[in-house]
Amino acid sequence: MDGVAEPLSDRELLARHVAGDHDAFGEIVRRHRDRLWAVALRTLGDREEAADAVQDAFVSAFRAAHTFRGQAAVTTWLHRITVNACLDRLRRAENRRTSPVSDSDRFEELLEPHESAEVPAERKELHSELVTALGTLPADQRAALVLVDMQGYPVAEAADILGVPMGTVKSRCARGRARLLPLLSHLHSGTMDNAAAAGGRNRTGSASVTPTAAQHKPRSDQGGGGNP
Amino acid sequence: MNSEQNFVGTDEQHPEVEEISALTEGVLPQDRTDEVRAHLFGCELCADVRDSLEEIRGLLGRLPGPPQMPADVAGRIDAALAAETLLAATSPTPGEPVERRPASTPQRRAHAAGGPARSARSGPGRGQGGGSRRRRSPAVLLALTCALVVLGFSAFFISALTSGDSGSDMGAKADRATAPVHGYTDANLEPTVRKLLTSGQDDSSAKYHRENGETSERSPLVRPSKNPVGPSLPGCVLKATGRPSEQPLATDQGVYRGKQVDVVVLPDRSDSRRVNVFLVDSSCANASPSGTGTVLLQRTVPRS
Repeated sequence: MDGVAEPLSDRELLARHVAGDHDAFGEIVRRHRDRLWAVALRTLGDREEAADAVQDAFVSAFRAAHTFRGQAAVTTWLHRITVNACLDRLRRAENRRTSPVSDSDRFEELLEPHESAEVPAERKELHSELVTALGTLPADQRAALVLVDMQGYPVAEAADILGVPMGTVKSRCARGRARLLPLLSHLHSGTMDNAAAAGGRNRTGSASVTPTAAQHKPRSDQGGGGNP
Repeated sequence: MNSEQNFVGTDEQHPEVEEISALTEGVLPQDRTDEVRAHLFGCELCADVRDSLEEIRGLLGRLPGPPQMPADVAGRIDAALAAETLLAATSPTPGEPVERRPASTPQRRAHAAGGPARSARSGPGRGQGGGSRRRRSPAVLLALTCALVVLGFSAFFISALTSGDSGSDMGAKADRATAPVHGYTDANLEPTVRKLLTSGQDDSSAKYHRENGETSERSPLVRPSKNPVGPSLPGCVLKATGRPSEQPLATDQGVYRGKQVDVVVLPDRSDSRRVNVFLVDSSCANASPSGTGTVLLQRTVPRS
């Protein structure tokens, strides 16, 4: 996973750090910081929050290195600490009942710098909608989707990172995707010819919604689309 | 009520989107799995939902992500960790394993790590609570301060931290137990030594000191400008260099790879622009003061 053949393994570096080698931990940081940054930024949707979370995580790992027992990969251990730091922050934010508007704004703004000028406007809009929608998901579902769907970790590894059974990761992903669906459906109806049915089923408040479609309007519409 | 889409039966409800999603993940209960799968087979509408869910999954995977950690964030983390390293090295009993330090110096750690550094595990009473955004500015400033300190002024930073603890005259060279120590690494050896050498030639230490609001006339921070040599070292350390009769350009005390070391800087005999640096295990002062210490690291580095 590291991509680069390093002379020392993560475990060896961690052991050296515990033994007092002041350079060892810095090498661990250099190896893993980009991936952890991506996870934190996508989970939290806010640059400063993500920076705080990753910093907290690395400092925690620095101090707790002697507790690492090698039952997991160092990268999984680091991810676990980072994701926990992110979830702590998300839950605190949820407790503060941060307004969904500001959440969405922040999620959108984190996409902007990374989109190149050549990306078509439609695609940009889609990305933006998706990222905004992601920001409305409950923390657990968001974290699962970031790890599995966005970062591409195997479900087993995501389960290790999150400290839950694989089935739980799968159902969090399933529920998260279900909640994203209605939030994206209006883009589908605008950009896809064959989306009439899906759009009809999920688009709310549209004149084309049939009674049948309204009847099985997904539950997630109420929770996802219109936060109070 | 019947539309053309309802051909599976007027009484049959379409499954929830969540159920269709759970089916694709294989986490739907078996009996329900059979029902929903049968429904999907005959219902174009719900099959579309399933396809859309797959599409969302694909879209998430193709989202352009942040390519790498921005330099300012990476620098901030490096600074926080460098502060951790330095603080670990200033433990009252240098040389003991790093991991035992945090418990003994909680306040200093919290200060230097910029506040937000806490255990990532959630737990009651951690009390960060709200307002992290408001607290961020001082934290960032502190982190930047740490970065500056690490980059060039580590000696003085450590002195400032430890002076509050000892409350004694930090100029007392004989008091080896409480003397400020530097964390020496292979990477920072050169700049740290350069700092030792230049501290006697300009006023930067005192200036930096004032800028950080820690001004104290008695402070050891001013001392190096008057005495570039540094603490006097036991004979066993000087002997370890093989050149005990020479006057060191500078000396220092620090920690290297978890061991307390005395640092001796001697002029390089073949190149006046370079100096020889010796990191000598300082335990010989107690074990056999008249013997010869062990050199843990010897390097030749440019003077400037």
